[in-house]
Amino acid sequence: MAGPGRGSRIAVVGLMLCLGAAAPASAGDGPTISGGTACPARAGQPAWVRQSAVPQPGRDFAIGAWAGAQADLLQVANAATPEASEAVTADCRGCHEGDAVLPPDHVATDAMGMDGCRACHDGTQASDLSGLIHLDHTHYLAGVSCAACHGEADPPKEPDTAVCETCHGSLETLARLTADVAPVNPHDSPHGTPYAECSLCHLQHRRSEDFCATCHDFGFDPP
Amino acid sequence: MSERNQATHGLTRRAVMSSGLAVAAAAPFAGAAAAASRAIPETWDEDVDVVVIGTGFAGLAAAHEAAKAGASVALLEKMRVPGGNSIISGGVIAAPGSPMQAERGIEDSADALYDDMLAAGLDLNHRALARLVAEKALETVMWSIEELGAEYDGLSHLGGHAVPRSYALAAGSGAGLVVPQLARLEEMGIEPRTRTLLKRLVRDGDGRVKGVEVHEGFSHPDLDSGTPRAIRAARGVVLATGGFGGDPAFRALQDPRLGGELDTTNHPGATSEALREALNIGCVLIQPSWIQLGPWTSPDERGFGMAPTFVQGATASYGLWVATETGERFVNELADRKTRADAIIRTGNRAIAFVDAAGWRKGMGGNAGERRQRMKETGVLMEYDSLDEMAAAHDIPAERLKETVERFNAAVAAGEDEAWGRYLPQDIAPIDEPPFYAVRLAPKIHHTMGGVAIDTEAHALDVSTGEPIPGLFAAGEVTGGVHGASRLGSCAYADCLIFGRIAGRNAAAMEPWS
Ligand SMILES: Cc1cc2nc3c(=O)[nH]c(=O)nc-3n(C[C@H](O)[C@H](O)[C@H](O)COP(=O)(O)OP(=O)(O)OC[C@H]3O[C@@H](n4cnc5c(N)ncnc54)[C@H](O)[C@@H]3O)c2cc1C
Repeated sequence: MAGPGRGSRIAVVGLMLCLGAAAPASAGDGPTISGGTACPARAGQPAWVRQSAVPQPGRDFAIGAWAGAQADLLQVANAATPEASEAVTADCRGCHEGDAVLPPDHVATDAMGMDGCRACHDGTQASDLSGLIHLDHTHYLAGVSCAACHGEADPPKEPDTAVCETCHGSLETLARLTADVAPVNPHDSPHGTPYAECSLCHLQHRRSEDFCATCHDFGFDPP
Repeated sequence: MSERNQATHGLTRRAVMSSGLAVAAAAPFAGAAAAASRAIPETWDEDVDVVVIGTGFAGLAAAHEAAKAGASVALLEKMRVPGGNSIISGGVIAAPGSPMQAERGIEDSADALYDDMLAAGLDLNHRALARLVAEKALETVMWSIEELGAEYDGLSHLGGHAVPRSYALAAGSGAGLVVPQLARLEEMGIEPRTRTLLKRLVRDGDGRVKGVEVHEGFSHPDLDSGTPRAIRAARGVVLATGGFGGDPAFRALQDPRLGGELDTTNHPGATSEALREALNIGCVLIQPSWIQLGPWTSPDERGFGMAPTFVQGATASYGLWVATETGERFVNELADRKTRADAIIRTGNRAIAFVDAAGWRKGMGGNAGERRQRMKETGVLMEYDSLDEMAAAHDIPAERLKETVERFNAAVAAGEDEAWGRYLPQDIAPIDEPPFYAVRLAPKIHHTMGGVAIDTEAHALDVSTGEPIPGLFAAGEVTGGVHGASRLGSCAYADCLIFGRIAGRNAAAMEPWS
């Protein structure tokens, strides 16, 4: 099974928020997040949601502090993704009928999960996809269902930052990963916890935005 | 919504009250309410004791006291995050006669603070309000430590204060108070409702403010966005919506020189719509054209940024400010803000503030290396190996700059700044250790001293009668009078917390209307 039918997929994608993926500690020398426990957000989901492919280990992400940090962040999330079996796939044209969402000569994506996209879009060879696809797609293609973040509430509500943290690690961990980003660490605001909500910048169903830019010129382009 | 709120959901209102004519005739002594009363909503969507609008120091303090007094509270905030200017602010609060001063042998008193406030305020301060702030400042800082668990780790000397008397939050910003304020409120079951815009204050024909109309799901700055909702306030409404420093159009109405493109240190929600609504229902606007420019900001970054900590903390006490055209000092670097901002503007914003390496160390304290790196990366801070190099970079006549430094070093040796009468701290030393650090100066809109008139009980006053508007309280930067023409640094925190607490307590103590 490759996922829900097209109609329901559009609805699903439209409702998603936040990356789910926790479980084992990260591979290799990458930073560690609270390992061991399964991502609670994934419990009770069908197999195609709970499971998606693991990342290829040992990529070289060394292009500047920002790219490095982004790669580390990805690694944390990816490494925490459960073992592969049946993955949600990026049949982009399947939903975006007639829209030119992929360049004409793009390799076929129908059989890919998010890990497949990242094989090229890792920030070193091609665009890291930031801003090109919304994070709800990224999450969906990594096997995270709507309910994984939103729960069963109807209508769905914006999840708390704690929901993001179950898979992405604590805010302190994130701050450590981006400690060297210039000119300032985007995850270490001096303005306290209210300014540390993930969803201030990392929007899911539309393009993310640089919340700091309401007052500062840091020039962030958050994924 | 609480059970209590649900129970009263759908309260209806007698039709007669929605006729302005009937209202005016029925309530001859209602002050400006007769002219300004609004149709009471047909139904209220929710019913609480106290509605607090704004989640800065003032609103949070009001909600805290109202909840402690047992009132149910709706705490409203239009932006996506709570905290307003308070959470991004500089983190210093006046505490005259404090333990930290005693440790350093600094003598001080509430009277001395009051005198400084009036001197900076050009005596336009409403004296009873200013006196209350001066007298309650110390106990308010102690309250923040004992009741909120706020942590302070330094004593700052801000411009216009006779002595160092400002407690500096360990967090380095107002978040060091806002975060614990929010935590205490959460313990009491109160969470700020963000993206909730105050649209209308509902003042009845009998003169009393009885509730609010809001837009939920508001998306700044679109004032028509969101879903309307009416909240009944059985006891009172506290207006704590902050200043209008971020509202160029309203600023320009008050001081035509200060509109347009001028940058501001304020958060983007520092706009005037709530203040204007207060005027609609009969509040009095006082002293609105006294708009303060911060003298320690830089044109090389946006907003408040990182310059002020350096310019105030290091250069004003241990360094110098010079006009680049002359290479000379042009103001007492520790004067009040208005004196300094006006002086910078007179140089045509061609002025720099600088210190030597020793001054940097003394003024910047912990984390100084990291901060220096960041400031250099953003281009706001410039580092020079010699005074000659600094002079060349800023087109300053080098010889005159060096003479200026020599003259100041002689003043340091003599223990008195004869030229400008600046306060010299005990640990001051000659300016001679390279490298030298400099920031360019350009004042930015910082504080709006004017606002609605209140009395010492935080009652908002009626424009027709001068008497309190029943059911309406106001606190914080949305009010006017405390600071007169120019607010002293670290006095806004005291003002907001003191009047916020009074407003919350008094709102909760009102008899509910029925
Ligand atoms: C950068 C900066 C640094 C500062 N540093 C210091 C300092 O170190 N010491 C000091 O004493 N003072 C300082 N000040 C001044 C001081 O911080 C402010 O005067 C004070 O925080 C104002 O508090 P407040 O509660 O009145 O308003 P705010 O903290 O601004 O809060 C008002 C809130 O009301 C909300 N609001 C406005 N209109 C509406 C509406 N229509 N509906 C719903 N909500 C609304 C706003 O979004 C905002 O969140 C500083 C100010 C700035 C800008």
